[in-house]
Amino acid sequence: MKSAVAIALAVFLAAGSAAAEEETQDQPEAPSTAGLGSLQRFSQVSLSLRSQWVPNAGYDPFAKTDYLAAWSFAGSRTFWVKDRFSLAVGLGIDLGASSSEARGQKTALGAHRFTVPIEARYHITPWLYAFGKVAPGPLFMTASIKDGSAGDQSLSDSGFVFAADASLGAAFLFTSRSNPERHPPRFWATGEWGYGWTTSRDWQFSPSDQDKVTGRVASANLGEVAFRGTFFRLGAALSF
Amino acid sequence: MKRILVLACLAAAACGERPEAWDAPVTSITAVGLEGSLALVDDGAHRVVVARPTADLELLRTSVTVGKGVVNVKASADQKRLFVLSTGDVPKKKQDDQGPSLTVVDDGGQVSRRIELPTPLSGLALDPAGRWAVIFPGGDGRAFVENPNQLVFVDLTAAPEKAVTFRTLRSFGGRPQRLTFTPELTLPGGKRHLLVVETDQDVSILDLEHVQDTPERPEITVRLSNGLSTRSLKPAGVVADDGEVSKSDDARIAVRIADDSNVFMLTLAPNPAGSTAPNDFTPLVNLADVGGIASDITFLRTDGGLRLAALVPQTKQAVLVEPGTSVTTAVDLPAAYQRVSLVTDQVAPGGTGDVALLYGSTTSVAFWALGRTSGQPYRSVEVVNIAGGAAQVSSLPAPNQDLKVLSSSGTGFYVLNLKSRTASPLTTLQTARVVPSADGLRLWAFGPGTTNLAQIPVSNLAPLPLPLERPIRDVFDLKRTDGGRALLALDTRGTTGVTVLDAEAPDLRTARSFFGLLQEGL
Repeated sequence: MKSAVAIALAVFLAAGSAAAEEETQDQPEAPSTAGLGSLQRFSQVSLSLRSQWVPNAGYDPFAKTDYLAAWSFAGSRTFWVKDRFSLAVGLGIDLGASSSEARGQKTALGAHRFTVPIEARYHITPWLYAFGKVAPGPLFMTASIKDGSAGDQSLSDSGFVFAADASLGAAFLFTSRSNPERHPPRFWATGEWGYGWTTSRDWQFSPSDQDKVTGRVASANLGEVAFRGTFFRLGAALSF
Repeated sequence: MKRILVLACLAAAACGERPEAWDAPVTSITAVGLEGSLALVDDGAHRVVVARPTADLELLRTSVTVGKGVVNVKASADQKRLFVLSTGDVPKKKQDDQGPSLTVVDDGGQVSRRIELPTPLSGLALDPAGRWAVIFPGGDGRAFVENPNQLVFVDLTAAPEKAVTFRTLRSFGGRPQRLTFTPELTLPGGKRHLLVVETDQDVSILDLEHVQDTPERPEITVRLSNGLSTRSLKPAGVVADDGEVSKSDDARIAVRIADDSNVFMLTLAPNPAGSTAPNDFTPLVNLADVGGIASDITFLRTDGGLRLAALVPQTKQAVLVEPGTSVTTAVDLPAAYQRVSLVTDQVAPGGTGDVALLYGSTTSVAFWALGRTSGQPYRSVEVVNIAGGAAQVSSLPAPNQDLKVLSSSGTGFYVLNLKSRTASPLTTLQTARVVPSADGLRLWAFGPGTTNLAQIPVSNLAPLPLPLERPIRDVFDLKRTDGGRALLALDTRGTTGVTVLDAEAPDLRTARSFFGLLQEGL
C-alpha cells in the first residue's frame, strides 16, 4: 500500500515537473513580483511529524493519552500563480500508530490518512510563505487486541472512514535564496496547525482466524471511534 | 529533529488521560448466574456487566456502576437480584471519595437500589424471604480496628433513609461465624422470622420483626457449655422447626457442636408470668448427648412425633432426640454417613414418617424411613451402592424433583432416582462439575479449566458431547429473553469470553462465541 502511494506520488510529481518545464519553455516567465521571480512555482516533497489530539473514547484502548503521532509524507506541485498567491495540489500520507495496554491486554492501532492536499500560498518574502490547506481523503484504521479470551489469536478490526484536514501554516526557506528565476533544490522548514476530522465507525473486534472459533463469532463492540481533533505538524520540505 | 521530538513529547504530556478503568487489569472475575442473565463483577472498572441471552443466542450487554472495592457478591434466593457489597475508598481522604455501599442489581441489568452504608464491612448474609440483608465483619483484616459483633441490617423493603439499622451484639468474648435466617416460626408473640448468629462460643437470636425498634430490643444470647467444664463449645450449625402449626410454644432451634458430643435444643417458649423480658419468647435449653460429634442434624417427623436426628459418623449411627425430654434413640447405620437431607416429598408424600437421604464420602447412600417397619422403629435403611462417595448432592427442580445428582471429587457422578431408588452412573475422563438446569430437564457436565462439555437430558441420561475450543471455568443455564433457555460457558482468560449455546437443542454450529466482554462499555 505504502509503495503504491509512493509510486503514485513520484509519478504525479514527475508529471507536474515535466508540465512545468514545458510551460517554462513555451511561455515567457511571469513578471517578477517583489523579487519573487518564479519562486512561487515549484514542486515539493516533505517529511513531517504530525501530532494530533484525539479526545475520543474509541481511541482510549490504544493510548494512555489522547495523543496520536504520525509520520507525514507529502508531495505537491504549484499549478496556479497570481502575484504573491499560488495554489498547489498534491498527495499526502499520514502514517499514524499507537500501542498500549487495555485492561492488561496489549493493544496496537494504525490510523493512516491518504489525502489530496490543496494548498493556497501567500508568498510574503522570497524566503517565507504562509499557507492554508484542506486535505480530503480516506483514512484506513486497523487495530488489534491481544486478548486472552481469544486464546493465541488477536482480536482485530480494520476499515476506512472519510477524513479531511483543514490547516494554516508557514514555510521558511533556510537554504539559498539566490536565483529566484531558477529552481535549484531548496530546503524549507514547515509548520502548520489545524483540525483533523473523520467520519465515525464502530469498533468490532473479532478473532483473526474465525475458523478456529466454535459456531458464529460475535464481535466485541468497543464503541464508536472518530479521529477528530486539533493537530500540528512540523517538518522539512525540499522544493525543486 | 530533537526539537520536534521534544515538542511531540510535550504535546503527549499535555494530552488528556483516558479513564482509569482502561489501566485496571482484569485479574479475578466473579460470575453469578441470575434467572435470565449472567452478571460479571468487574471490580477494576467498578461495575457489573449483565449479559442476557436472546433467542438468536446474542447477548444483550448492559453495564451498571457499583461501589469501589467489591468485597462480597451474592444472588438472592430467587436468583432475581444481585447484591454487591463495596467498601468504597478506604480510608476516605478526599471530599469526593466513595463511602461503603450495597448495590442491588436486578436480573434485567438495572440498579434497583443503592444503599450507602456507614462502615466498610465484608460479610453479607441474605434473608431467603427477601426482606433483609445483614452486613457483618467478615474477619478479613481490612480495618485497623473492627468490632466483630457489629451488624448492619438493611431492610430491602424500606425507603433508603430508613433502611439501615445498626446493632451491636452483646458479647461474652465471641465473634460471629455464621448467620442463619429461620423460616417463619409461630412464637408466643406471633409469626416471626429470626436471625440466629453463631459465634465461636455461643448463639444469639434476634427477632427480625423488632430489629428496628426504639428502644432497642436486645438479642437473646445462649451460652454453650456442657455443664461439666468451663470450656466454651463452638457451634457448628443450626436448624429450626416450627413444631405444630396450631401451637405457639413448640418452635425449636437445635445447635450441633463442632467438638463435643452434645447437641443443644432451644425451645422458644412463652416468658414466665410476670416477666419483664423485652422479647416475647424465651429459649428453654436442653442438652442431649448423641455419643459422638454430630456431622449434621435435621428435624424430622417420625410416627412417634417430631425428632431431631443427628448423624454421628464416629459410631456409624443416627441418633434421634425426643425434643421435649432429650431422650435419645440410636439407630445403627451401614456406613459412616455425614450428611442428611429430607426427601419425603419426593419419595413418600403423605406418609406417617419422613424419609431422609443419608450420604457422604462413603461408597453408598441410604434411604432412611422414619416410620415403623416390622415392629422395628426407624430401622428401615435401604442402601444404594455407589463408587467414590457423594461429597455433594444437587437437587433438580420440578418436574424432575425426584432426581438428585451425587458427585464427588473422583471421575464420574450418579443420578439418583429417589422414587425407584436407583443410582445411574455416568463416568467422566476427568474430574467434572455437574450443573442441573433451573428447569429441571437437563444436566451439564464440564471439566473445569478444560474444553470438555456435555449435555445430559434427564429423560434418557444420554450424554451429548459438546467440546468447545476454549477452557471452561463455569457454565450457566439461563432463561432467554424469549422464554427459551441458553447455556453460557464462561472463559475467564483475558477480559472474559462466553460461548452461548441453545440449551434445549445444543448445536456447536449455531453457537455464538463472544470475546473481550470486559473491554466493552467502558
